[in-house]
Amino acid sequence: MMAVGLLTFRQKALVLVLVLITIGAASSLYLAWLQPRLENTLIVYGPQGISSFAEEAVRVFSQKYPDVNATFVNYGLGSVAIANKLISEKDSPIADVIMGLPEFYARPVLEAGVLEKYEPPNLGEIPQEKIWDQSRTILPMDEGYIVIVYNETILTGKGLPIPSTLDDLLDPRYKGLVVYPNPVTSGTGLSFLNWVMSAKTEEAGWQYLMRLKENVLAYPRGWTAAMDMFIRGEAAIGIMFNTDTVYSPAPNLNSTMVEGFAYQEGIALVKGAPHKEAAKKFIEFMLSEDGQSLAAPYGYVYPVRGDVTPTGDLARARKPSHVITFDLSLGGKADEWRQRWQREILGG
Amino acid sequence: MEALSVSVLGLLFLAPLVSIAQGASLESLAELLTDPYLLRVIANTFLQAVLSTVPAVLAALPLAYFFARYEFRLSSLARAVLLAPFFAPAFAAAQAFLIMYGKTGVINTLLMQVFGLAEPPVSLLYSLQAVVLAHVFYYVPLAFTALEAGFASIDQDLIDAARSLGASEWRILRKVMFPQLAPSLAASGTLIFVFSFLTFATPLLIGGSFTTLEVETYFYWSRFGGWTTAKTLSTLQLGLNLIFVLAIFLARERVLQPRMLAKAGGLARNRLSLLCGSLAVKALTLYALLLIAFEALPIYFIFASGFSQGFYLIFPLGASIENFQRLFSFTFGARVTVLDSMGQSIAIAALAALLSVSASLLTAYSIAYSKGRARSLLSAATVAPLAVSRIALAMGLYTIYGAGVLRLYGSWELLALSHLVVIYPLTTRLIESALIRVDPDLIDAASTAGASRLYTFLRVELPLIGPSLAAASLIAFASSIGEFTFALFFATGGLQTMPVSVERLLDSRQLGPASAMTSLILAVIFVSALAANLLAKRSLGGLTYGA
Repeated sequence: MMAVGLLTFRQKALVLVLVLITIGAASSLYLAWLQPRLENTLIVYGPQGISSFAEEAVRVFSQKYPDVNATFVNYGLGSVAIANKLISEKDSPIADVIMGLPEFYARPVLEAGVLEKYEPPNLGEIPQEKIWDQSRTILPMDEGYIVIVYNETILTGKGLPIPSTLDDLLDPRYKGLVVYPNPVTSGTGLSFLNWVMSAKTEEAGWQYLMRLKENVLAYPRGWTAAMDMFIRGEAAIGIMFNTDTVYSPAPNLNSTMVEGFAYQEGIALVKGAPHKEAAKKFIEFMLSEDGQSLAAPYGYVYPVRGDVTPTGDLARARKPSHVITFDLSLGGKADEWRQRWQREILGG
Repeated sequence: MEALSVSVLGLLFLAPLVSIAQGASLESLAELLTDPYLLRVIANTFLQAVLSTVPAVLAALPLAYFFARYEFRLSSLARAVLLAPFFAPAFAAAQAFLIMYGKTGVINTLLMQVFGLAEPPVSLLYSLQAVVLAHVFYYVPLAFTALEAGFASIDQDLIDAARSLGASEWRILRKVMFPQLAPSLAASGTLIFVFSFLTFATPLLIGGSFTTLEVETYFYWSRFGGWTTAKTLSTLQLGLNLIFVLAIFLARERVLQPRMLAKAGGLARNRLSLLCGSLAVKALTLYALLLIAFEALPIYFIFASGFSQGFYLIFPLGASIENFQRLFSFTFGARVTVLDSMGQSIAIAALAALLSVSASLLTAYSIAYSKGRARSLLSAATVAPLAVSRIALAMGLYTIYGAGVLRLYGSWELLALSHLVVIYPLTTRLIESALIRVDPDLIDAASTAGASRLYTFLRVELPLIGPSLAAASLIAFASSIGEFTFALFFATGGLQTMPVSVERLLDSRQLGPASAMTSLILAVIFVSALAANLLAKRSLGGLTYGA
């Protein structure tokens, strides 16, 4: 304090100005330093639900191409939400690649004009019948099945029957036990909507959802949040992947595998991607044998390549006996349904 | 000087809003206005704002009277505790409600423990009630400060005179006290209504299917890819906001302007004595205690659940840093670590504080020394960002600076700029009121002695308002650290400030680490606010600060 007292006004002012400039400069430099570290990075968007698979994919890819630093970004969102995040960033894209884009949400994303067509040289190695996007902009990456799952312990404890079909879920004894992810944000949730509409036609489908609402405990934001509810034993019945019954830490998760819905996921190049060349390499990698065999250890989706055979949990998982596939004629309705769902099912 | 202030406002505030209005379409408007769902959302937005305002003001009234009327030990501590939620960011209030009233929350656990229940009895969250209760909690302190100032402006002599002339207590209340209080009631009511109308974090986090205009607009933008709809909805809202700006401008004269040293002496103060006091005094004291508990508990629970691993009744089960350990081992997508997130928050807050105090100094100078209509207009324009939809501002900033030629989206510069827009009004207000207090005779004397205007400013005014500048910087820093809406809107893979990290943690149901993070944010904010208050007392006797 003595020293400060001895300074003249001019000196004090100078010191203050210098301190302020230092704070400002230090803050800017720090932020600028932090930014390029992530900016020089290939950014891959995708749903939180595929994090472990996707993070392994970017890690292996970055090892293979040491000059590319790839990162998987999910913002804790489901696949539909992350697709809309991409759409909202249309004028200044951050992401280079989007993966885990579900077939039944392809049309809104394609129509938004946020993707760029890219056919990697190894596209021919994928069985052609697996290519579901006829514009060949979104390329097939993996596939799975959505089924009705249940916590066996809870149901037997309550002396309740085991559900096998969509109609079984309407049983009034299941009140407050059913969980399915919010279709506004989650691909798993939207696939359920597609399943219901394909199986029942639209108007009957909405009536079904209204009746099911009586039994629903919660609409978690995505697959991850729904799985958390099973792991904590909060949810007894839900809509999840067939493979979830095999590897998931959720206790006694089971399924009769009677009815199911085919879930196909794709990968695509983002239009105006900041790191276009690296993005192309990444897409090629994901379709290669190396990339495809990464799906197996994480066990929730099947590779699309014929030469990569499912192993471990993936091989052990049973598939549903009656599979409903996505009805192309309903393809354009995803956004209309999501909005109607938000208003009538969630808000109503 | 004026030109500079006007261009700051023009570039950061008006231009973004104009771009929103340009993006709107009549077709979309016609669609929106015939959509029963959206009409209900608009009605709900009004409804929750009214339902939040009336109880907040009414609840604060007896409390303000209690503090104005009685002296007691620890009264300044009680005031500080009471004001804490006022300085906390809205998302923290919502988070506190999650901790308290959630299915596995404190209240439910307590009731289940005490009554041996199998199911959680209280189900309050994700509803209109949750939003309204959180608002009341959040805005009682604001109403309290305004009403306290109102009571301070009442002249005890008038009351005594009325009493000696035989007026009944009721008549005194109606004819003497109410006219003095009315402006404070109106002003705090206006502010709370406007802030509640513009609410975002609260309904987003604990409203569930109950949404408001801000949330719905955000959803259209971020979830439904409906840019035109979002911009049209925002334009509709901006029309209402224009009325709010006017209302806030009028209210500001009463509340935002620190006029703590009222001319009148306020009510005669008695020492609070519970032993020999009347039943009314006891009831009033009990009421004050309950309300203080209602305000203090949620904040307490954030800290308590950050630093412990559970509760027995309402007491934390031992101190534990496990939540912090879990927090610091957490990596968000895109390899943003918790430390990165904290560093970014602090650096952005430092920049926002520096920029807003510098810009405010210029603006406050031009306001303080301009006259008549120019002064009022400038003053009104500076408070405007407080009464305008943040989602609209965010979309506008994105359109103009985020996309387009500059393509700043995803950069820290854009987030710092957006913070500047909403912090600038607060710092301008603080600095302006400090400048107004500078004795004009000092400036005249300096000028007579031959000092140039700049030299006078540097040597006379600046040292006098120094503490206020420091206080304003701290308030700006605290506001930026706790800012939620822009931070969420502009968060990208590499840019994620602390409040957004909290949102992500809450979303993945990491309640413990989320509380740990919010405890850190609140600690920074409370220390800044306390220091700012001390500094401001040195120069102008207290300050107020809103949302």
